[in-house]
This record gives sequence, structure tokens and C-alpha cells, in this order.
Amino acid sequence: MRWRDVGLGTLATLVLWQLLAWAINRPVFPPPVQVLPLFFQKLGGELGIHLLISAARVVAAILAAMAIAVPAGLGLGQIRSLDRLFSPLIYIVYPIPKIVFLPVILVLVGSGDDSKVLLVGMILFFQMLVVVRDQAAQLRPETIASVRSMGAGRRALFRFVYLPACIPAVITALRISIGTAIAVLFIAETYATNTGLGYYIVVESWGALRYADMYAGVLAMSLLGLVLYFLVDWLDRRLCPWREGSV
Amino acid sequence: MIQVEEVTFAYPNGTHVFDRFSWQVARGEAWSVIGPSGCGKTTLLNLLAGLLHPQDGRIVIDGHVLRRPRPRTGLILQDYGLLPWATIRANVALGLDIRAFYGPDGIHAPADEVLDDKEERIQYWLARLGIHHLANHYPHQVSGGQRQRAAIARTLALRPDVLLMDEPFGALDALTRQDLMQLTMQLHREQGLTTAIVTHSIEEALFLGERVLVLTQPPHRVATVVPNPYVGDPSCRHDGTFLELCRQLRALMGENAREMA
Repeated sequence: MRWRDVGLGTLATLVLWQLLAWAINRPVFPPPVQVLPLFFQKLGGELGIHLLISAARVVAAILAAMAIAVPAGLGLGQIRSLDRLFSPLIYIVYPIPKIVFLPVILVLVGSGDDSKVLLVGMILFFQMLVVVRDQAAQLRPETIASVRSMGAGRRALFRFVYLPACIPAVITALRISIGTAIAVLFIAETYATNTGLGYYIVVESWGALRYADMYAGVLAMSLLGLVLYFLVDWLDRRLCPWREGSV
Repeated sequence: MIQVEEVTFAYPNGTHVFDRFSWQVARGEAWSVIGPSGCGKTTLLNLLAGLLHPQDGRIVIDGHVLRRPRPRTGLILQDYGLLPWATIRANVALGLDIRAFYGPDGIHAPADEVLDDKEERIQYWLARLGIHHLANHYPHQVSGGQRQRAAIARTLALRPDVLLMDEPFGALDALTRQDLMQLTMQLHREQGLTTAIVTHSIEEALFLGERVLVLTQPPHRVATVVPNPYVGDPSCRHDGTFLELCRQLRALMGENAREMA
């Protein structure tokens, strides 16, 4: 998407929001003219810190999920016996909405950052695992044989074949799951914590009936999603230029 | 140059392909390996490439017993050999990159490898194979013939002394195939390569091999070798003895078909 389109989309959203605010005309639906100045003012302070904390949790979850899902997915995709062993398990666990584990995780891992990262990481992990596995399974044995014949051992195969082959898979997985990941982070941050955008929106603002603040939090959450989405898009173009126009 | 000594090989599923099979290739020779599909041609090539290992017997190349892919042996496959995510240039550079990755360790790369001229080598082979203008294209953006040219450039940039090709021109149209066969013979002579080319086409086998190894029904015990005076000569196609040679090869392969039936 081009910047002009992003600008137009933002403008349209603001206009629609303003019109709805006029129509509804209640404190629970403040207009953007009231929320936007507050948003920019708070972004430099408390809200900005909550935003950074949430962003750090998502990024940590992405990195943790990647660190485990990429090697695991490559292994499952390349070693058939391993895949036969694990795929029934993945098949059963994959569709479970991971948010239902929130209470268990809170009890086992505690209410700190770890529990949020673990929960969001789980969602990303399964998505990445499945996509990377499928990508690795698609690697032709001929490709691997011809690279091995040029002297590549395990390390060079990983560096020149497996790693570049699974980058697009990781990016696709991120694109699919980043929305869900942020949604789950939001819910996780409303329990037993006093940091993050979820806490800011639900406990600090909604709970105190500070509606304009609540919307400033919603804007921050949208910003987080948007920036991550753009980042994934940019990484796609930067790291997978051969996909342009072919998919 | 290549000695296959009493090699026995069977796949884990029980398919017995070679049984104390011996075969010799002298330095600088051009060989074709022909036979019906499933006869074990590709298995032989994979054994020579060091990608498969015999259960018994040994393969000696240039005086060394083969235990893993040998840095000075080049292998070109029918297709899928190129990395789809790398440009033609990056694909041609791949072997050199792998060597730079390990350094001249004598295992993954020749111990005397110097990579100072890496860029020149890449440029030379891109130009020599006529794909210079496609350097920044991806494999899916170029034709099958151009992909094979890239695969050849990639292999020759590694300065091999043995070149193995598995049905390298099978998926190409007749004109491109003829063109690439001629180029292959030219490069074979120019680079002093020892080549073994696997094919199921008699025409291809006779164009590319001064000696033809005929594989029939596995397990193979003896090497059936047919000398071919017409190698690299497309003008003799209608010559009587050439047709007789074709008939002979067909008969050799046909025996196999009858045995199988």
C-alpha cells in the first residue's frame, strides 16, 4: 500500500468517527477532535510507556516463537518420520484458541512479562511451525542434492538453503497471525498487571470512566498493529524480492 | 580418473541396483550412460557424486577413495537445481559462496582454492554461457534453457575436472537441446573435463558420449560399453553405420525390456 492510500484511509476513518460521534452524542463516544490532542499529549508520557511495553512484549514473542518454530518446522518438513510422529499432535493443538490457557499460564508462569510473551508466542509459534514445515517439505530433494554436490555440509545447507527458504514462510505466518497476537496481548494485559496498553485501556481509563483516554489507548493499539504490519510488509519486500509479482 | 571397483548398492526398500559392478573412466573422456527409466542411471550418478555410498566395493576418483561429495566434481541435474529465491547471478555465485563460507579446507572446498578472482569468475561464466543480461532475473523469470545455462555456469565456475549431468536437457525443446548439447561438447573439450552424462535418449547419448555405458535390468554386474565414433558430430545422422549403432543400442536396451516383461 502506498503512503497516499494510508493517508486517505486515515482521513476517511477520522471523518467517519467524527460523524458517528455527532450522531451518538454521548460521553462514551468522544469525537476525534477531543481524542487526538489528548493522544499526542499522552504519547509523550504514560501512554507512550505502555505502548512501548506492549510493543516489546509482541516483539519478544515474535523472536521467541521464531527461535523455536523455525528449526522445529525445518526438522518436521525435512524428516518425514518426525513429521509423522508430531503432526497428529500439531493437528489437535493448532486450532485450540490459545487464550483459553491464560489462567493456567498466569498461575504457572506468574503475572509478569513472561506470561504475556508466552501466550502471544504460542499463537505465533503454531502459525510459524505449520507454514515453515510446509515450506521445508516443498524443498525439492534435487535442490538439496545439487547444493550438497557443491560441497555444502549441514552448516552451509542451513545458511544457503534452509534459512532463505523459510524466511518467506516466517513472514507469511507473521502477516496472518499478528492481528490475533495483538488481540490476545490486549486481553492478557487486562489481568493481573499494571503495564501495557490493555491495562491502560481497560483498567486505567475505562474503569475510571476516562473515555477520551480510553480512545487514546485504542489509537495507540491501532498504531502498534499498523506499524507491525508495515514492518512485515517492508521485510517481505526487503528479504523476499523474488516474490514480487509471482505470488 | 574414475574407477568403480566391485560396487554393490541396494536401496533400503530392497531394490538391488549394483552387484559387484566395475567400470573405468579415463581422464578427459566423454561418457554417456543410457538405459530405460528405473534402471539405476541416476543412482550411478549419485554414487559418483558422493551423495550415495556403496554398501560394498569402492569408487576411486583421481586416486582418492570417494567418501563424500568431492569439491572438483560438478553435478548438474535436470531441473530444480537452482535456488528459486536467488537471482541468476547469485545462483552462479552459490558454489563459490559455499567455498568462501568454509574456506579452503580440502573437504568442502579444494585445499588450493583461491577466491580472489570470485567476481571475475562469475562474470566470465555468465558471459560465456550468454546469460549476462539475465544476471538480476530470478529462475522463474527465465526459460528452461537459460536455467540450464545458469546451472552449467554455476558448476564450471568451480573449475571442476569431472562433470556429471543427469538428464540435463530432458525438459527442453529440440532446438534448445541441440544448442546446449553442442555447448556442452565444446566446454568438455575446452576445459579438458571428464564427463558422464545420464540420458534415456539414444540421440543424446551418441552426441555426447565417445563411449556409451548401457545399463539394462538391475542388478547390474557387468558394464556393457559401446564405443561411439560419432560423438559431437551432428552431420552423420543419416550415415548407415550411425543408424546401425542406434539399432544396436536400441537392441541392447530392448533386451532389457523383454526381460522385464
